[in-house]
Amino acid sequence: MKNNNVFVITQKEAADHLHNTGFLVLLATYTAIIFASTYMYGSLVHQNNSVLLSSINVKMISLFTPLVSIVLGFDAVVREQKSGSLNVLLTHPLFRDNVLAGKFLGSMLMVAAIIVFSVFVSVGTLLIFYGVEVGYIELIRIAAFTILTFFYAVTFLEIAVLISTMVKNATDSLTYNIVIWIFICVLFGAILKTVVAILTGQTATESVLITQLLNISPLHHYGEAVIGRADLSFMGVNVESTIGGIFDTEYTLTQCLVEFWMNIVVLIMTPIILFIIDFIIFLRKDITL
Amino acid sequence: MLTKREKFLPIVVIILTLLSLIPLPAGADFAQVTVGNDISGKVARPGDLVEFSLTVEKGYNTSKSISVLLFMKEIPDDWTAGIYADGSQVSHITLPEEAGEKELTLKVRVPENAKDGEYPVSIGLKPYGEYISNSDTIYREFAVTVDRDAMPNLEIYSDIPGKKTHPGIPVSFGAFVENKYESRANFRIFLVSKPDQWGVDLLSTDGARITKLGIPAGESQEFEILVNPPLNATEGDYEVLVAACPEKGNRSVFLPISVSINPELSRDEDLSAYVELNSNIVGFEIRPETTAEFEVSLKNRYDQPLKLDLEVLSLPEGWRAEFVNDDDEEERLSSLMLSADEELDFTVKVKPSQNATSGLYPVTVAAVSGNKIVSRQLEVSINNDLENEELLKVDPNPEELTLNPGSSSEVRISIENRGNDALEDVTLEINGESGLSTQIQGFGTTDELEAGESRSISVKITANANAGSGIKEIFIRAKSDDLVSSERSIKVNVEKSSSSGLLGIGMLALAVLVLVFVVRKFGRR
Repeated sequence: MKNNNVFVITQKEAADHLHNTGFLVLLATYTAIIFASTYMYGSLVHQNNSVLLSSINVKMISLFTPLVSIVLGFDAVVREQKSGSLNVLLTHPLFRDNVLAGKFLGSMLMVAAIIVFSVFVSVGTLLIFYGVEVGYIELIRIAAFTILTFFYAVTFLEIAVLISTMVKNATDSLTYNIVIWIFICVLFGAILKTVVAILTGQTATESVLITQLLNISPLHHYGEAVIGRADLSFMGVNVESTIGGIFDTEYTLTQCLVEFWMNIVVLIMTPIILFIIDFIIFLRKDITL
Repeated sequence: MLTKREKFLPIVVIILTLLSLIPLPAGADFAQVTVGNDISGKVARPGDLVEFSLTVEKGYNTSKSISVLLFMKEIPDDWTAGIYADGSQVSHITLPEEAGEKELTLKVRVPENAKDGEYPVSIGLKPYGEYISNSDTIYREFAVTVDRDAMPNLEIYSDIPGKKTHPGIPVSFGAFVENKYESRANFRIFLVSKPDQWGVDLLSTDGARITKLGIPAGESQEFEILVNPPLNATEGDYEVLVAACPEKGNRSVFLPISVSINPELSRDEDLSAYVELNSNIVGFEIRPETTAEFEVSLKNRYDQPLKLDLEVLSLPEGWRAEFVNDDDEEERLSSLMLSADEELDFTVKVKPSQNATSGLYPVTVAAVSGNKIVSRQLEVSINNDLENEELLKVDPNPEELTLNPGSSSEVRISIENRGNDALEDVTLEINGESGLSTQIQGFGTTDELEAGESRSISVKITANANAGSGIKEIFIRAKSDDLVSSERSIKVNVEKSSSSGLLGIGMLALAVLVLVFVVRKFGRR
C-alpha cells in the first residue's frame, strides 16, 4: 500500500514535469548542448584513444547536467507547501516520507530519461555522421558513463530538493541552488587554490592539501572516475591520474573500477546521505502556510 | 699793439692744428663674402660631366649670418649646369654665425653634340640679409674646353689579357674598370665582338652576370670575363673585345683579350709505348650536382717497374677530379709503383661545378713518369634537364591503406641515398590532406646519410573523425640542401563503417523509445 502511494506520487511528479513546457525546452537545450560539444570535440585529432569516447565533452556535460537537476528539484517541496496542496495531500492516508520519496523518484526518473536520451542521441548521431568504428568495449564504457552521469546529476537533484525543503519560497531555493552550482562546478578549483595559497603559501596545484580538499566536491569524483582528471572547474586544479578514468581504453574496466572505486562509491552514497538528511528535515518541518 | 688779425691768428692756427689731428671716419667698405676656386678651366669630351669646386667664405671681420643667392650668369646653349652643396642642387645658401665657409660644386654637363672649342660658364653670387649693407654681386668665370680627342675619364684593363686553353675548356680573365672622374659614376660594360660559337660571360667577382659597374671616384672595380671556346675550336689565336663606357656617354674604351687555342696537349706522349691508360666508358651525361665516376685501368707493359704520377691535365674551372682507390674509397691516389706487366684499376671521380651550364666538357687525366706522359681524355656532358630525383629516393610501405574515421595506421618510409656522396640533413617532408593527420615517429631529419645508405622512418597516419569518405593522397618527399627526391604518394582510402552507422540509427531509435515509454507510462495525470 505504502509502495503504491509512493509510485502514485512518483507518477504524478513525472507527469507534472512532462507536461511542463520548461521541461521540454530543458530537454531540447541539454540534448543540443551535448550533441554540439560532442560533435565539435569529435572533429579534433585524438591520437591515443577511442575517437568515440574522446569525442564526449565531459567538462561541458559536468557543467550543464547539474542545471537540469536544479530545474527539476528546486521547487519540489516548497511549491507544494506554498500552494497548500501539501496540507491537502497529507489529509489522505499518506505519510510524509511517501510524499518525499515519490517526488524524489519522479524527478530522478526524469533525470534518467534526459541523460539517457541525450547520450543516445549524441552518440548515435556521431556514429551516423562520422562513421567511426565502434566496439562493445566503447559501448560498455558509454553505458558506465551514463550511469555515473546519472548519479552525479542525482547528487545535485538531492541538493535541490533539500534546499527546497529548507527554504520558504521557490525564488530563494533557486538562488541558493545557482550559488551552489557556481561554487561547485565553476569556481571550486580556483577558490581552493587561492585559499590554500593564502593560508599555506603553497602555490603548487598538486599539493596534498588541495587534493584532499577536492574530495568534498562531487565534480571531483565524477571527473576522476570518468576521465581521470581531479578537477573540471574553471581555472581549477590541473592534476591527472595515471589511468584516464573509465574512458581510458588502455586499461580494462575492472582496472578502472579498482582504481576509482572510492569515487564511484562517493557518487552513489552522496545522494543517499542527502536523502536521509532531507527526510529528517522534512519530517520535522512545519508545513503550515 | 697787436692788431685784431694778429690776436686771432694763433687761435686759428691752433684750431686748424687740432682739427687736423681728429681722425676721419673710415670710408672703405669690406666685401661681405669672398669666393675662392683653384681651377677655373677644364678639358672635357662631349657627354662628360665637368665639375669645378669653389669655396664661399665670409668676408673679413664679418661674424653675422649671411645668405647668398647663387645663379648661372652665362652658359652655352643646350648645356646644363647647376651649383651643388652637399650633393644637392642649391640656389641659395646661408653661412650661419658659427660657420665661416661653404664648399660648393659647379657641375656642367657637356652635350653630346658639342663641337670642339672653349666655352665660358659664369656664375653669380649675391649676398643678402638684414646685416648686409653692401650687396654687390660677385661673378666667377669658368671655361670648359671641349676636345673630342681628349683622354676619357675611365680605363679598362686586364693584368693578363692573353691566355692559352684547349677546346671546350673555359678560361677566365680578371679585368678592371677604373673611374677617373671626380665623383662616383656608373659604367656600362659590354661585349663588342667574339668568335662564332664562343661563349663569353661578364661576371662580377661573386659570379653574377653584370652589365654595369658603379665605381667611386678615383677607384677601380674588378670583374671577370669568362670565355668558353667550343669543342670544335681549331688551333689559333682568337680575340674577344670587351668595352666600357660611362652610363650616359657613348664614348667607349676597349679591352681586347686574346685566347690561344691549342688542341693538342703539349707534353711528350711517348710513354704510351710502355703504359696503357684505358677506360671502357669515356663519357657520362650527368646533372651538375652528380659525380661522374670513370673506371680506369693502368697497365705497365714495360719489363721494369715504373713509378707513375697521376695528374689531371685539363679540367674546367670550378670542377674537381680525384683518383680513388677501388679497394678503399677513402684513399686518394697520387702516384703508383707498377711492377712489370702489372695492371691496376682505379676510379676517376669528376665532380662538376654546381653552376655548370649544359654542354660537353673534356677532362684529361694522365699518368706521368718524368717528362713522359700517357693521357686519356674523358668527357662529361652536363645536362640540367636530366631528372635528379632518383639520387635521393623515398619509398613508402605500404603505398595504399584503408582507414576508418578516427583510426590510424603506421607507414614505414624508406629514404635512400642513391648518389655517390654522403648527404647531410636529409629531411622527410609530408604534404598532408584535410581529414588526415600525420605524425613522424621519432626524428624526421637524418643528420647524415652515406652514399648507398637507406634509413627507415615510421609515420603514423590518422584519419580524423570528421574525414569524409574517399581516397585521399598524402605526398612525401625527402630533401637535402638543393637535392629533392621525387614525390611519392600514399593513398589512404577513408571508409566509414556501415555497422556503426546502423548502430547509430539503433541508438537514436532507442532514445526515442525511452522517451515514448516515459511519456506513456508516466505522462498521464
